[in-house]
Amino acid sequence: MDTDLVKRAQRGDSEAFTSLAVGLGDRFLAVSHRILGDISLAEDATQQALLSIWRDLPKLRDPARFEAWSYRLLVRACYAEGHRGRLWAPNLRLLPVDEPMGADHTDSVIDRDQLERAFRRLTLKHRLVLVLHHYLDLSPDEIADALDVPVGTIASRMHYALRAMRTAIDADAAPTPREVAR
Amino acid sequence: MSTDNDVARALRSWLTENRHEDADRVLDLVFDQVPATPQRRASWLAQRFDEMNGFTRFATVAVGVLAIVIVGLALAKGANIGGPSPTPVPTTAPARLDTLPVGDLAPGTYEIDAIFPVRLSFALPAGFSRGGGDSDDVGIHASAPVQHGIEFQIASNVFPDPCHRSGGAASPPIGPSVDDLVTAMTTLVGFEAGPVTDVTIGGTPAKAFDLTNAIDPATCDQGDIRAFIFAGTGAQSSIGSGQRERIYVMDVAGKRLMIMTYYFANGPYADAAASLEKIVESIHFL
Repeated sequence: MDTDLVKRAQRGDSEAFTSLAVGLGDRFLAVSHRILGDISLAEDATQQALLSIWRDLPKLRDPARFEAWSYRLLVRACYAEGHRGRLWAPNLRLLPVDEPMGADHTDSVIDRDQLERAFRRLTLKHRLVLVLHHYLDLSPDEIADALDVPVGTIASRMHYALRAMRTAIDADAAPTPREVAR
Repeated sequence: MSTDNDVARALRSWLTENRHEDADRVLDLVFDQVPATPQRRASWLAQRFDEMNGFTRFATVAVGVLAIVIVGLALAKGANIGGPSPTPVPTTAPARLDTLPVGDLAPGTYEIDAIFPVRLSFALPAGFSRGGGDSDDVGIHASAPVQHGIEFQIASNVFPDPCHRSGGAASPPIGPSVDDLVTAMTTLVGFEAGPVTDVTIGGTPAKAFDLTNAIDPATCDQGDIRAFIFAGTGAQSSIGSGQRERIYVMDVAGKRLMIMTYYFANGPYADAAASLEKIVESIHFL
């Protein structure tokens, strides 16, 4: 990240901010889409985060830390949008159907739909750490910095998030499920 | 049966597949709003000092120090500067929360009006943001990270076992009274409830109690903890593992209002409870 651009944007140079925002836009949208699972909410979160960056840039003391700081604002926006999304999410639940089990549910091949369903069931906090780690390749230290929590908390969240996904995938694979809208 | 490594590998592959997200539309919206969005300065003095020479900087500090000394001496002597002190009054009317975008909120008094069936106002300190809001739930949370906050909610039913919801919601649904909801909330499986006490909020009698849980969401049948169902939208409220809630239930003009403050007692915001309690104490019903 060009710290000179950051410094200029801190002084109110909107052209410098435009360059920064263009560099962040697609990545922010991709990250928030994966966390929130909804492109409209992701667009709102990205917009909110970029505007927060513009508004609060003068408060950033160390321009070299711009990237971690910007992720923090994106995470904050995702929390806000995630909360809104929860309220509007369709009320779906998985119900087992009385059908004979398939020939083999014990193999380790994970179906893409199962993966997506399991991921959507995770809490926002768990989705956040998984996306930041597995999509952005941030280390637990970098995630802790972005979320402003101890690194031990990140390790714990990653562990429980993967475990919750595995449990959901295994449960999903056992009986043949169908989705029922209530 | 899959392993954590299988899941991590599959997850990484799924997350990194190209989904063609294009932020051009969002960027256009952002750039349209930038000219009308003032930047927040960390400190007026710090900002101005960058542009001052040494003499100006010295002179500014000297004038400031002199002013502080003069005012301090006058106050110490009990001098009456500028006549009797006026009684502090709010300079502006409460801000309508439903007219504000999701995001940071300035300290001040806020009013919840059209978006929620119970009209009320409350005083908010710095460091809070507005979450979502609709006819069942209006949330204010700490700006970052979101570890504590306050929710105003209208609940219609509960999941008696929030970790094992395949058992379904309470059937028949809980009754409409304050006591019905308090009884249901204080007997949730896996939760520990403190004693129910009588309090008054904004002049209205309320029942108050603490709820805690040490549930590992990974052991739950749907991977998370959800305790109650909202009245209008039918949405379900998530509760975090290790989260501590202070819950107030009351009847306000025929509406059963639940106010929930939440925080993590063992987390970095253990002192958040006091700050949230002040917000509750400031509530006025309109």
